[in-house]
Amino acid sequence: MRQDVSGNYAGPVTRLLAHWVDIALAGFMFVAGLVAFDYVLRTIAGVETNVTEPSWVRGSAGALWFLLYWWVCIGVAGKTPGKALLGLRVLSKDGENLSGWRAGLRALSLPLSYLVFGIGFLGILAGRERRALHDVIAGSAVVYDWGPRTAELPTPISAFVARRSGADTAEQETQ
Amino acid sequence: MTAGDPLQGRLGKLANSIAAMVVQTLDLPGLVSEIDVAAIVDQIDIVEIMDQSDLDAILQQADMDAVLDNVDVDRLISRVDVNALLAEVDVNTLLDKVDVNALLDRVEVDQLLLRVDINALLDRVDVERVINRVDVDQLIAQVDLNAVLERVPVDELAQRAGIPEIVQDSTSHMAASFIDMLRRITVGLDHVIYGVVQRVLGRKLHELPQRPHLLSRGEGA
Repeated sequence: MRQDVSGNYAGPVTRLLAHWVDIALAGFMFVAGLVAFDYVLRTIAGVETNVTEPSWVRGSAGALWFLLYWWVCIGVAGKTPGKALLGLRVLSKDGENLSGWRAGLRALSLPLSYLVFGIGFLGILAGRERRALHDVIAGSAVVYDWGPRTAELPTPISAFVARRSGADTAEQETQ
Repeated sequence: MTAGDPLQGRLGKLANSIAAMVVQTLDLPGLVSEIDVAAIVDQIDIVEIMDQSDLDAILQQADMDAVLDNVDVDRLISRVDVNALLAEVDVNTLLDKVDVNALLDRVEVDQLLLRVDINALLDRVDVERVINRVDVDQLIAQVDLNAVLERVPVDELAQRAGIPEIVQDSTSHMAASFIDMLRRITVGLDHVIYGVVQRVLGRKLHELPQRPHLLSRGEGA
């Protein structure tokens, strides 16, 4: 019997994988957009550019693109494509839908979690509500949401959790 | 004695009188009944008589039309055992002698078909018996399936059978199952890693909040 974890706070592995998928997807889309933009510039305007060459314009455009990607996706759907694939959803810390401005704040504060070797992400591993720094700043939380299907633990871990829960309850009663 | 002799005339009359008296005296029906006709017939060699007879000459002199006029054909046919007759017929030999093509050339098929009552014919056909006699394997072995399939509108049939929808549903179901399996693995790893960290920190999992409080009351996501 598998344990239902729908709506539970999401853990580090799922969130990390979803984040990587989002970075890969957003990065690919940005590069594809740059190449397309470069092609248009060369063929229509006759301007020679080099998309591989770093520039503050392209860097700013990239930062803006990533910001929009997280803001729009979470503000509109409550999830990014990576989170949708891994079965996650971003809500307010109380469990309501996240408002647009909180989604924007979350997207803006996301880089802060990367600072000092990603110490901002430590809350996902050690926090009581598994919230990263940007979640705390935006007042958000990430939960399991598999849509119409039930989010489940694998059978062996469900059995282990059930045994552990029984042991903890017995221990509590003894105390 | 010569003809016209008076003596001869008297003797003749006498003989006739005696003969008449003998005939009157004899019991002819009784005599005939005492004759063993069967024994007489047995002594007659019919075959020898037939051999000595010129049947052709006899038949030529016979008025066959008159003979046939007197024959009751219906009665004759009714006495013929057709099944026994047919049992002795070697149909294969008969058919070998028949020039089927020539026969078919003479048949006007359209006219023949117009006279056939197909419904009545089909009503008389025992379809199950016919089917049971068909060697399906041999029949199929003779069929050029590629040629048959080329004439079959496979795409249209597939559309009408709803196969694309079935394939789509199956594919979606398989993809969803695969994704769910992947998710279960990551959720399991989440649980194990988070549980270990919380144990290290001296916390008990069942004492920690599992979800946002609104979701605990069945609201929200």
